[in-house]
Amino acid sequence: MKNIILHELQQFIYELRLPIALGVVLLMFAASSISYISEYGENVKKYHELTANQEKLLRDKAANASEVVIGKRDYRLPPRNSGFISDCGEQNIPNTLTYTAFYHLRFGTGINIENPLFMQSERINWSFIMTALFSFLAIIFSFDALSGEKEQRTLALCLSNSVKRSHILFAKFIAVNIVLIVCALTGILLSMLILALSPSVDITAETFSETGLLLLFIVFFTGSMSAVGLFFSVMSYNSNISLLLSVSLWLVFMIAIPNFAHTLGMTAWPVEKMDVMQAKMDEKQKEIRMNAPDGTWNWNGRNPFQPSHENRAKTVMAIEKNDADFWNEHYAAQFRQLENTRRWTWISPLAVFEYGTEALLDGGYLRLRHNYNDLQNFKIQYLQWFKDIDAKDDKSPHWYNPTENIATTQKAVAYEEIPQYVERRATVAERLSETLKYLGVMLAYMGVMLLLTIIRFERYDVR
Amino acid sequence: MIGYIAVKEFRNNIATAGFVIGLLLCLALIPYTVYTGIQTYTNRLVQYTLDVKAAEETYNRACVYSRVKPVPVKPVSSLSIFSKGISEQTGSKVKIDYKEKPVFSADIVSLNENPFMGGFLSLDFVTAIAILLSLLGVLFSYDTLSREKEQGTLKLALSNPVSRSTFFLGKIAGIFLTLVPVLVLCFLAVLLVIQLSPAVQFSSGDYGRIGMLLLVSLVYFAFFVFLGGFISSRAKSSKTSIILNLFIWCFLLFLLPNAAAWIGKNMVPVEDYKQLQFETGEIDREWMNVQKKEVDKILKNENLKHIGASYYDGDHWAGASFTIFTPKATVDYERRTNELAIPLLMDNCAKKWAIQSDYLQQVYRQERTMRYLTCLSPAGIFKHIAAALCRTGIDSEVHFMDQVRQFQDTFFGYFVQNRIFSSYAYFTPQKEEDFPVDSEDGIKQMMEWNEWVANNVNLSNLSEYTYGNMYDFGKLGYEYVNTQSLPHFNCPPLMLGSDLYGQLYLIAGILIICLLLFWFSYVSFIKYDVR
Repeated sequence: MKNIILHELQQFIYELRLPIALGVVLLMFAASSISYISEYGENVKKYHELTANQEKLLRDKAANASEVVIGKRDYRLPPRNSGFISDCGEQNIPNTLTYTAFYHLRFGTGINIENPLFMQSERINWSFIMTALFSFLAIIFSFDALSGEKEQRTLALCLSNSVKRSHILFAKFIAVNIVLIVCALTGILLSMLILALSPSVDITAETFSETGLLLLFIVFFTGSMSAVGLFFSVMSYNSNISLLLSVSLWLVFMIAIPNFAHTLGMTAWPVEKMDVMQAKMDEKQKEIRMNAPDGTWNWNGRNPFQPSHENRAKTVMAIEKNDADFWNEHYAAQFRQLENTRRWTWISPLAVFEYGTEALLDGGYLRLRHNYNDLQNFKIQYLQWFKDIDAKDDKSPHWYNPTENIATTQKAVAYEEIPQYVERRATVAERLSETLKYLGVMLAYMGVMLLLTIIRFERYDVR
Repeated sequence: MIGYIAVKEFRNNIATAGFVIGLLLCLALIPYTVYTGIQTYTNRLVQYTLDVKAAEETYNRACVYSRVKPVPVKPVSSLSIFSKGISEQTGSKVKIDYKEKPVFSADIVSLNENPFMGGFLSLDFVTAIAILLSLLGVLFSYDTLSREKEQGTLKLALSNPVSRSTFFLGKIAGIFLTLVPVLVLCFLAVLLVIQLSPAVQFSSGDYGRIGMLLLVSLVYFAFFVFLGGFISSRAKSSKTSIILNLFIWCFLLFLLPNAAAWIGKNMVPVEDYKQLQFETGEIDREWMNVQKKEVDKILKNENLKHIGASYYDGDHWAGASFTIFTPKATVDYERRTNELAIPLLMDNCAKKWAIQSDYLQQVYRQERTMRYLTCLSPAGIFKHIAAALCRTGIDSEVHFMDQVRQFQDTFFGYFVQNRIFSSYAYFTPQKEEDFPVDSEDGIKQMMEWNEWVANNVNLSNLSEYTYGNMYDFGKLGYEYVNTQSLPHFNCPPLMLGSDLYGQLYLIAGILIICLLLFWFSYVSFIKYDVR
């Protein structure tokens, strides 16, 4: 088996595809790293500008504690320093959460795309290079592993020797994967080198551990894709046919599944459109408004103890609770729709690789989701902080109103005392548990493809 | 002779597995993309109809000028079924306001659905064609000459009294003879499906654009055929040829456009949109903290006072936007506030626009850089031309937004010219002679009106007497504003000529590359030494 592996590797070295593959891989890794450096620096600068703006606005409001808690605050997810590994689709999903101490959480869905006038494209990072290029390379290196030998009639000769068929197959499989992993490692090393030379990108111990685990993922991923190539190679008698079939399946993974998943998700797990949900919410709101006691909306003078303020506070709180219920349910349905759709796309190793990377880096949807949950908890603490301040003020009637500052404390607070939400990164255990799930799926995929290939190869009749 | 060779090639090609698999891929992907394209278009059309209706209702059911709010709605291009371009990233309508000019269109229809699903692809017909056509072009041309060289049949063929150019042209014509019908069939199938869909209507101009799209598709397809032919003429074995071809195909289709766009984006950075909002917000904050107080001071000097209102609606920017049964003193105060504040707010709008237009120039510059770089790939060129032809490209969006901004100037210019901002009619439907003298009189008038409503109007169906969150006072005893004399928004679509004019350099570029590739493969074949 060792000899076959060495022989296969020797063949690859003399062939054209290895230098081309290596050239494209190095080019892509270099381009991704150089571009990432400028993007990351720019993103960090923009993020600091935004937080500085937010701070300025909040400092102005700190003159009145009630103004602070009713004022909307935006939480923009800070740029990740692992974005060169994968952007985890973050450019395609909301990146901001808006909240007040009372107001329900909302995802920012405004101008999310940085330049809405340009057709959306993918960011070039390691994950993209793996899914778009390495999946293709795996097929290019494996499509003729057996069909080529069948065509040249060398397979019959080879099988006439006392070598187990499974050994031939595994040897070819291992040789293809060695080539792919060498290409990946070279690219990754080049990328790390470029990134290390940049002062704006931090390469920490965490980056190395993430890269290590990613390499394991890459091994399984290239394994799965080369198993696909080998399977078609065993199935066909002609290398052209095996190439065609492999490329067709690659196109299905790359194009058809992510595209079909969108339609499937929308049809199989439908979610009410936002405007429909809002119309229902408004109806319920109207009902609450109409059932409000007489005089609720009278607003004369600045006397905080005017009874109508209490009625209005209660009514507006009821409206806010109504809105929060609608929005929370709406988001829960959207999350369910996405998660169900994603589960369906597990049939594509490309999708599994992307989800696995997302889990490993704690980015994308998973990051947004746990920030959503954490911010819900933060909001409770934030409101409690305000209630504690308000309770100390004798001049306040303590009628909490999410939209008005009249019937709660008017005292100033120090900016430094205002609770700030800080993102909690997922723990190693949390990340691993999620990552291992996808690693398991990838392993199963590779195992099944290899098993099918072995079965078919064992039954192959050389005559 | 060329015809004879071409027919022979055609017969050989259609008997190959490649043809069957390619056809199957087309049959699976193309109808699907058309189906989703029609679905998306139909949904957007429904939304468009609703938006237009809502906009007309808001426009025509106003009893005061402040509530006459034109909402230009962007027409949905029926050709978006072919190419969605940037139509799903931009909004469907624009709200006109004297305080700020719109930077982008608002209400992105796709965000009405699940924004978290944005990670999934949504393929359109043009993208599917770009992938499949190029793959078929490469697969049928990679062994045009290399296989014949490998099998030794090229020597035999060239030993016959057939000129090399005839042989070469016959081979290339054979590929076109095989695949052009597939391309035409794809277009015909789409047109058939569209004809069966009652929601989609095409004008004769649209058919002209589809015809142009077919022509561009042919040029794009020819690029990959000539590329395959060129590599085939240089490669010694068909295996080398296919590997090289597929590498180039994957690079040009998937890697280069994305890499180029990303590099372009980082080469020309654009300020964050939130930062822009903050900067324009600074002008608003200055208005609230400084200018507004100056206005209040003038009002105080003029002894104008707000002595209470019965039915009042307004923001903190200027005076009332709607009031009724309100004492004359308050109405005078509000009128004067509007008279003083609105021109200043319009000046602020111009100040904001200076910042906004800087930002927009950055966005345009970045878009141009990204576009030029992605045009290094023929797939990028094809998609940009297709988007322009289907009216879903940047030119249509920029044209629409420019028209909207021009209309905004005209519309509020009319208000200024006719002193509408400083009139009572701007914010109250009551005639001057009917204004209550004091609060008590106002309450009395309101009670009388309530009684009139109770006697004359069936309020069991409340929605008939309201629109949005407002009462429709036109149905409750007051007159609507005559909007006939006001400027109306009209956005004539770009003509095919102007759409094409912007893409001429791209069309010329891809044509020149095609001709060069053809020439290189031709020369290479002519100079090929059979020994």
